[in-house]
Amino acid sequence: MANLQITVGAVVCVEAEIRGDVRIGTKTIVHPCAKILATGGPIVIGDANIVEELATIENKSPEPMIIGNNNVFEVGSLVKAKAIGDHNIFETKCFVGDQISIGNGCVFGAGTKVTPSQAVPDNSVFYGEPLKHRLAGERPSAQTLQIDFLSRILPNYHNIINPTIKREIAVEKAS
Amino acid sequence: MAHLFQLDTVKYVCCCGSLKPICNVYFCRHCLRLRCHYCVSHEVDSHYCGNCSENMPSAEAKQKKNRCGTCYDCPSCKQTLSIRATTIQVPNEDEPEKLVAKKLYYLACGFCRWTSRDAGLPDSQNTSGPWAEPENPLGQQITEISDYFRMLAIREKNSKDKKFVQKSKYLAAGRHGVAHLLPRRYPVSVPEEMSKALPPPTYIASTEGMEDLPEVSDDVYEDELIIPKVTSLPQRLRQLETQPTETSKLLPTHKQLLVKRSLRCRVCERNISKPEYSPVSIKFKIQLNAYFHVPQLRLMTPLNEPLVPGGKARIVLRLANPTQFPTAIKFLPFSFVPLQKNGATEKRILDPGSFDPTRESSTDHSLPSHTPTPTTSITFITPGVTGVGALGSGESTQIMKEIHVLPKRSERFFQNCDVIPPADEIVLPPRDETSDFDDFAETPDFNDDPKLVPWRKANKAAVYLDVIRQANEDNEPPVLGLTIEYDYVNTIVALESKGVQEPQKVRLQAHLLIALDRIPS
Repeated sequence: MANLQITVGAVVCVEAEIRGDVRIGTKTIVHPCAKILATGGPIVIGDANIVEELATIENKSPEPMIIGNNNVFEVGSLVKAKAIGDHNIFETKCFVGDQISIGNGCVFGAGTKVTPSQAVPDNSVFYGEPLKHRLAGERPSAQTLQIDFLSRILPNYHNIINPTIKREIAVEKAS
Repeated sequence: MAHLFQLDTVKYVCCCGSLKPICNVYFCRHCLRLRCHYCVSHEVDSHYCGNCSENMPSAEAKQKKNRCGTCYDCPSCKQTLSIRATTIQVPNEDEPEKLVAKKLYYLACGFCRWTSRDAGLPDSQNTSGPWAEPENPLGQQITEISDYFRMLAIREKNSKDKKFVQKSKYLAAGRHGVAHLLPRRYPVSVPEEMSKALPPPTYIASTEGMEDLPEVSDDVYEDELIIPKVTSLPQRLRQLETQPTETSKLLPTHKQLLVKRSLRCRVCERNISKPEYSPVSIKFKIQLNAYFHVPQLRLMTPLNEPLVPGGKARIVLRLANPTQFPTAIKFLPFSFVPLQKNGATEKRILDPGSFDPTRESSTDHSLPSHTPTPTTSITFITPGVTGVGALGSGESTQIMKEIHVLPKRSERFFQNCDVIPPADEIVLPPRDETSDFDDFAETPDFNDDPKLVPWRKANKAAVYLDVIRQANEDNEPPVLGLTIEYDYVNTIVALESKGVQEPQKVRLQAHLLIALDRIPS
């Protein structure tokens, strides 16, 4: 049942909860206790993303959920969006509803709940309670330093799932 | 929201008639009365910046328009801006081919992610790099106009002082007389010039109408409005000089200074609260909060079932004695008498109908005659009366002064439950700071009636009280009115008065309203 494909270069901890069809690109870091739940349909994650602890990426619809590169899903965020572009930041404990398709360079501030069913313009910043929206001048910078650091340090403290280009984990599926 | 001091549940009645929880009320040691922040005068003690904790003398603060020189606020969300650094590769000055890493600094907001680059400001080379300030486009005109009016004012003042130089024969003597030594009054050399009009500044606007008005271009109607690019009103008004309509023109503003204030009783002009000068310190030189002088009452358990009109219930109150001396607490029915101007001793009688009808209706509620009390003598005790007669004749003048000085608060007193006062007084020992840490401290035994005082610990005690709700039907939540009488030992007054050796013990009253249906924390 679980079809987990991890590209070489990605660091995915064993303690992360991954269900369903998930494909993870290179240099992506998935922390322990992160949740990637492809319960309805498959999730495709691009390169150089960071999924931190207790972050949940959920796809309940049968359509595939496609996530781009260089995104950061901070601690406790809950993201159900249809499609996500590049260089976005989902800050701590934000909630993104399932009718949204996100462009590039967007920042969802800590604790915000964003649920409109419309396309989010590029470089937009959501912050505050009640929710405020503004357009930033430029996209947030990429977290390359952090990715390099994590890919060196995390394997020292956690068991990492062996990456292969294509790999089948589920043994129970054998009928 | 839950709070340790039950901000909503238990309210003390201040002398002016407003209801405050115990942590928001002060106690004047000289007048022996509760004072809320309306009954005290607020004075500015010192200015400081909230971010860099830098003290600023008042003259400098006034010159800088009460703004910090180094800290900035985000123009879009008014949080404090922080300085961030980026490194870029620049060609070395000596060898243009080699690249050297150089640090550039910019301002960034952590909340809304606004950066100084959004305003178009270039990154600066040092951390305190000059960030552009919004300049007032009309600044030049304003200074010219204000200078003109200042000159006019000087002229008018001089002309009022002395009409004209008296042409007397003594002055004709010129330099030989004494009049020559008089100080020069006029800014002009000859008195005739005084009557000449000052030249008006060049910026006085003309009031001619224009014949041709520029046409409104169609862009106004057809261009799509991008909402995030338009500034909101608070953002616009925070930058008063320019008031930009586009977010790209928002510039960082200097952070406003905060103020430490000292409080002074309005009646006796003595200090009630005086903070320390250092902005980092949270201590006080003088701190006369009611929390440290008046017994603290808290509701321990909510009502088990709703209290119907005419019904009876039993509540548990928790008493605590915060002072260094033991006190005996007695419960009485609610007997607060608000200050009224139309007393017999007051000549200037306020017409009750015309001035403030809401105030009159609120005082109607609080008149003790509404509450059924067993003994009428209690109802007419004026607040603040002392059993030992310490104030004596000074008391009526103090009440007179309170009536003049304090503001009248038309706060709604609603009370529909009465207490059946227990016959005994409850003695509370003094507060001992070490009792919190000493697990084996023995609580002194007072031979309590367990039906009255079920629990005791150091300076605290729980008390059972029977409560009757009044019989009239109303859809209001149950509110209990209560007056407690307690002993207060005044240490400061003893030092001032000459013959008295021991501190004076006075009996004071405090009036409370307790909301019985709130769930206490």
